[in-house]
Amino acid sequence: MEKREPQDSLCEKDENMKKKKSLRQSMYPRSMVFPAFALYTVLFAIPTIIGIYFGFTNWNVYSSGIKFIGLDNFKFIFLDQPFKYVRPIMNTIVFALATSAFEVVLGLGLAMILNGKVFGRNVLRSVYFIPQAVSTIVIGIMFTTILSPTGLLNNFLDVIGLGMLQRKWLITLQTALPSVIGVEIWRYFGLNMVIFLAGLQGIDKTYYEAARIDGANKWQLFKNIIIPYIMPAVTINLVLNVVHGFRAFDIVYSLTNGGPGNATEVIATMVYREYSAGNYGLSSAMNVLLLIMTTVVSYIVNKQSSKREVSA
Amino acid sequence: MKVKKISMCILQIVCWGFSIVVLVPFVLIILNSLKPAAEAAFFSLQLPKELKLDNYVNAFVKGNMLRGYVNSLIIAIVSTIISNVTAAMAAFILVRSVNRLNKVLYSYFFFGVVATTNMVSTMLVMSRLHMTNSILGATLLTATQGISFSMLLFTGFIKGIPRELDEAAAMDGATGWKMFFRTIFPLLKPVTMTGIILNFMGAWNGFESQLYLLTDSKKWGVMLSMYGVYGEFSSPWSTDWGLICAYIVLTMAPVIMIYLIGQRYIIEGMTSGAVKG
Repeated sequence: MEKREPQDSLCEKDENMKKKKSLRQSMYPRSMVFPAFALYTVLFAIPTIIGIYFGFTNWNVYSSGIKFIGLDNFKFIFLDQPFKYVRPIMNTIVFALATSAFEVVLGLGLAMILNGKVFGRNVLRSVYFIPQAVSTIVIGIMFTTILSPTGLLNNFLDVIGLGMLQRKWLITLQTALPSVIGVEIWRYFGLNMVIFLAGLQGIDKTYYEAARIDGANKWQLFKNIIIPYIMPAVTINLVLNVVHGFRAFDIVYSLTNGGPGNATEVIATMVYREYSAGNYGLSSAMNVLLLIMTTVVSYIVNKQSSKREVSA
Repeated sequence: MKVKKISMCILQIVCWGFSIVVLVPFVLIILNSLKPAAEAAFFSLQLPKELKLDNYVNAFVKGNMLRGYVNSLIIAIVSTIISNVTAAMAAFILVRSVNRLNKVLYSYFFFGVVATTNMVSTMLVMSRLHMTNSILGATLLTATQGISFSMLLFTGFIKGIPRELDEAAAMDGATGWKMFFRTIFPLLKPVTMTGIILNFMGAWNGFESQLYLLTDSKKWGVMLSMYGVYGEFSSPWSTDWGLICAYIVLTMAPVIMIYLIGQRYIIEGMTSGAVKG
């Protein structure tokens, strides 16, 4: 008899748990997830999965059916036509890394300045974010004219006596990719700044005071207080920047359309080019590459930065 | 102290100088939108010789600006409502009721922030659903593209709302949907505003999915219409930059206005949502 007691109480506990569970289910019904789930699954997840499958097929406008061909598309990309396809992949990586790094540094620098006492800081903050509110296509058209050989930038260089720096920015092999990168940084740093500002405003003012009393200098303040506290903001910025950089399409499409030659061609523009040419399988294979790259990089960034957050 | 003052002064100058770099392209477009084609072709920062609004009139007459506005407004408003309401509901459940399935669901939604849309297969699915070349299709696709980021915003914010509020509401007999829309959803207002502004801007500026989806120019929003005007009125020999710039100003004006009115919500929402989440 004595042995039963614990079992009884266990049963009771079990029943309690069940009650709690049913209460939780009535309080938080899973049906509320359904609308988002349905939309997201039908219009995003399913196309993504089908798209991955297409990457392993030979589907194109000329073929009568869709045939599974294993890794042939990837073999074609890397071994058969390396000049045509590897260059865009390298460009994509350079583009993503360069824009991410500059956007984070510029965004953090400006956020730290604007977090202090700067004349007209609210106005400045609004101004820096404006490019974010404007469509990339518009920005592309704007900068095509500004960077043209007779455009505003070259005229400006002439006026301030730096005429020797004039270039045919978007037409010359050496300057085309850096120019596109520059425009992208101009467009995107504002978002980084806003996210950093949000992070900085979350830091308790007393930490600064405590550090100052302990005699910490500016660098120590930056390293030991600011950096650990804005690490979540760094993570989210890096993930957004890199993913955004990998996916870049509109900006390249509207500025150079991949040219001159394929000097500014990136994966997303190749996806579109192969799609327009009717090579749906190959186009999807390039998209699979992009998917792998974005997933891996954002996973690594997330892991690395959250490690630092914990240790800090 | 003096060094500090000087360095502060330099920082001010750098900041304001940088803001000029940001603003000049916009000033250029606005100035050129007021010039006739011949004058606009030079793309200089000179003031127009005389003030004329011909280009703006032409944008409506030749460029079907009004139709673009109506289509864009429908797509942007409806898709913004759909993605914010559905994302808020889903985020609420996934934050409050933590179990294995919901954790998996969260990662599933989060994947959308990272993954790239494959337009080939998306178009295939859309055509099976008979939603190609329809405004409804464009709206639903745009809404879907906004769900993941909105979820990210809402999740961070909801974590900061005490659970006791749910329990108090449950005591009053309101559970589930009723509790959410009566008690919780009103509390989400700051982050909902952020979601609304960001989604609206994204939808208004959306180009790529509409480019694939809408072949009938009567259904184009402002961005596609603008690109259409750009293609129609530009050529290597003569480009009507005055008209194109006026069109650009008209497409930008609504989003920039919405941004300027709602910008404080962007920072507030980021503070409570994305950065913590």
